[in-house]
Amino acid sequence: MIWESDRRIFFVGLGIAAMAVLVMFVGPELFDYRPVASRADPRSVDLPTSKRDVAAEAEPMRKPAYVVPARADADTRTWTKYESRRAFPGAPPAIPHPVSDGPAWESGKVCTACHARGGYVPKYNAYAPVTPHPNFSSCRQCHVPRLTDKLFRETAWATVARPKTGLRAMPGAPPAIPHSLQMRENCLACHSGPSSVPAIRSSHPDRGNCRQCHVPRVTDEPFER
Amino acid sequence: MSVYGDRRDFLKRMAWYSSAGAAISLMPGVSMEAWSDFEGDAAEIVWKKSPCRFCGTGCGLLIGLARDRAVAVKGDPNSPVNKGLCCVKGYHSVQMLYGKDRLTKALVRKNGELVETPIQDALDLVAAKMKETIGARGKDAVAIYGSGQWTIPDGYVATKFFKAGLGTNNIEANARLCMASAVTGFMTTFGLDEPMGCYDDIDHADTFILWGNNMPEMHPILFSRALETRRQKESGLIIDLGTRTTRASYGADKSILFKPQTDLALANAICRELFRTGLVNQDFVKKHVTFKKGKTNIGYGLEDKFKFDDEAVEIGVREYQAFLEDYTPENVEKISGVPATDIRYLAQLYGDPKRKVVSFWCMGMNQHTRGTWINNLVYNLHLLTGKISTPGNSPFSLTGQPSACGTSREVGTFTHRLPHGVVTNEHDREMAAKIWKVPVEKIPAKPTYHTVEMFRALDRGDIQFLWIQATNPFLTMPKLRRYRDGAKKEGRFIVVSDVYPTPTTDIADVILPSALWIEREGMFGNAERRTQHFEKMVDPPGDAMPDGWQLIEVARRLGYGELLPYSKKTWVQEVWEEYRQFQHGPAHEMASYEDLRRQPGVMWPHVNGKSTKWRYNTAYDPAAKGEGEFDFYGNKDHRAVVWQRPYEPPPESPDGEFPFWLCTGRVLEHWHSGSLTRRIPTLHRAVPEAYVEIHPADADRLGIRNKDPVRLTTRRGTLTLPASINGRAVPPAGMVFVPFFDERYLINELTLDAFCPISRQPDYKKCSVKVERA
Repeated sequence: MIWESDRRIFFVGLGIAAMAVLVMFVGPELFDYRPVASRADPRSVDLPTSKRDVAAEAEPMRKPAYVVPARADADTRTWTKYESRRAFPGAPPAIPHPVSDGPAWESGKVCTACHARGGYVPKYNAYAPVTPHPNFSSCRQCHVPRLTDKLFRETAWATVARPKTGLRAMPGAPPAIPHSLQMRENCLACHSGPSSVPAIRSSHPDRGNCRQCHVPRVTDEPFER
Repeated sequence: MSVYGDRRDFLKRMAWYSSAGAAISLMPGVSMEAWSDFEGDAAEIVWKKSPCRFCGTGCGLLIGLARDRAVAVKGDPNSPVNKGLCCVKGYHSVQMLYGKDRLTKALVRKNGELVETPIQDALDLVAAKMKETIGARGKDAVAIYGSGQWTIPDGYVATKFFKAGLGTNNIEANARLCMASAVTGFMTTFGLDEPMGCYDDIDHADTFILWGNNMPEMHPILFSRALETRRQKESGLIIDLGTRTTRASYGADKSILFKPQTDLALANAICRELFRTGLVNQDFVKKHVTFKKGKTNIGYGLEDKFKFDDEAVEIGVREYQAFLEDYTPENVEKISGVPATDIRYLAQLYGDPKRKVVSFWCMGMNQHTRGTWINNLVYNLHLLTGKISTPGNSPFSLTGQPSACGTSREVGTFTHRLPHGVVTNEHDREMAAKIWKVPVEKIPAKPTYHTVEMFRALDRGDIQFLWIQATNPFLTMPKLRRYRDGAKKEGRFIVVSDVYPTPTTDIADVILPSALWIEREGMFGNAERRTQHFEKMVDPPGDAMPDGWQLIEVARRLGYGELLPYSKKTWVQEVWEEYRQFQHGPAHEMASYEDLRRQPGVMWPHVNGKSTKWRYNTAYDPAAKGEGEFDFYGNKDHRAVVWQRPYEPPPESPDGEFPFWLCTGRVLEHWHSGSLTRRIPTLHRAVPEAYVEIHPADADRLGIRNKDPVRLTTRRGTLTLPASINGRAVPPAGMVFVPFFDERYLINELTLDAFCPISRQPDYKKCSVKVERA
């Protein structure tokens, strides 16, 4: 059974890889999957991709994170799960699975094996979320496991609700970005792929340049001369 | 090539973060974001700047405030320290305000029970008890023990109240336990305290050498910056020197383990190699360096009333080189366990003129019975190679508390110090008397007790009244049992100002509830001479008030109202302006109150509106004069000192009965005694309890499996706690390590109260212990 499903994934993967190679020569601009966070300079967001960058993109395109259709039976990330791992909207999430704490830890290399580009993890029947800030490698500096649910002492901590989605100026308008972009520059990490929360999954992750249409909502104050 | 593996320009990326931050910043220092479209629990979050409450890195945080509560944290993109990134403690720091067992009312012990008492009555009692003790036993029978977590105004008020009001030098702070050797290292080598460089050195350097410093856990933000530099530069290298294998070892390019205490020999061997291979910067040494030696066989301070005074003797470079001859790589390999090839390699790294080297250290070198010496020896490496006071060349002493530098070291909350200089110096006393408007005779000229001796004096009964603020000594003192039992003796009166119940409040006679961090206004000073202001953002609970204001209330009750004439509303600003007068001048000029409010931190000397990044360098430092590139103006001859300091063994080493080394320290998730971090759900859940790390081979031999109970026994006590085998760090065979944050496992009942005779800072890293399966 396992072999059956693995073989299926293999052939789907092979097909996708072939498509990716084809796309590389035919029209790479149509499939700009590159995470925004990897761009050094915000101005470069609008620049056409160089040959070297296209080559770099071929690799993620072969990976299943953004293009392989999600397994229907895989565990989906719900808002409840998403929030239970964070102390407040924007807090670094805790690690929900067992992690090696010993010599295997090597400046985040262990973490990025799964979280750099995501992918299906049979052990948890789930898709690994993709980090929105892959350039930081000391992962465990911010992300810590949860070894117990018990508290040392009770807490009266309370925070605010997560930002409201769908801030549209008019029907059909692209919604504004309701949250801070700090440490979350790669929109696709959370808004695309089978590991994302379905409610905020983009219908068009292939367009790549998210912020040409979606802009942060920084103030509610009207413009005044 | 992978998407994230590209070598990209860190600075550019940081500029991008900053611009993203600037875009949402509506006024300087305050960043606002309208989140009025929150579902359900609608709230607008206002973001205000504050330095982090935890370690000495001094990260800039933006605190998210909604409905009079702190609800979120993000890194301040405008802060040059962390540039928008935090560690897990910083991100979750605001949760520490809301533990349900916060101390909100004063508690007074009556017939053995702590009874809730109106705060004014409790303050009356404290004042009465002080007066009574002074009347019966003299002014040196009362003492205050403060903290590197005191804000600058808190520490200043304490110093002024005790030294100029009560007229006693009985003031110390827990910074003695973490930074004293760093201070004496700086003072003996440069004549002035605190680093010459700044965190920008991390961007300019390419070689990072960590001396017993587990940075990914203790200074994570700075380690992330070093990782970024290494990622960008072909020559980027991180070398971890330590006594056990930690996250720093795994993150480094090379991990070199040495036997405890032999860092002294290792540093001397590197110096010898520098001479032998011609890598000494002769020009720099000729112009800017003198050679000195001090006393040897200087003792360990294990006896009460231990006295030591070093004596500096100038020597020539020939004598110094002859001294180094004993430290051949082969000789040092024998005592340190570091291969001779590695010693030569380290010398090449320090000496290579193309490399820019930053040495980092913290408790590994400071909590050391020869802490002053090893600080001197690492400075030797930088002075002999001339790699100092220039961008990217920096011997960098890191700190563990948010204001160990700003308050303890700069204000001088120690028995021998004044806000400028020392009590033994007549001119310094005169300056203090003038600013404080008291007769100079009022300020006693003789230091009394350093921290360990202060607690010994409490045990002996020479001190009868002790006020403890913002620290937890009855968890953190070495050889804890003696000092805790001493404090419990008949006739002792212990006042504790804190925010949560701790092992220290457990034995208090009076507990005063304190306002914590952003519940009041204050300033902290971090490890790179950066002073940072934070405003009051939320109300303190119940009767809680700032530590400094508690002192003012009691001082007024004792008739020192004129000495501390500040208004409750503006006392922080008033104290700051008064304190600045002490630091006036190009060597230590402090920023104005307005500048501090405006900026995400200002580095002293702050002259003509400009922070000084590299001291002693004539191109950057307004106090450095002369034709040359450098001016070490802290010393009278304008030269830095290369010290001849030998290897001497520790007071207690493993033997037949106690065959293991015991080392103690911190973990990433918990900070110091854990009284704050354990009340932060994310942090407690990650590391719920302490453990003992043991090498797999030792565990195997002793029949210990992971999480088995292990009994540790030293000459001072015994403790049973769970084993950690191949956990996040692994000690070498023959050593165990225990984190000290957990009040259930008081590891300091086992540690030794030996200290560096020059700095009087205890060594928590080395004593001998017996290990058994319980």
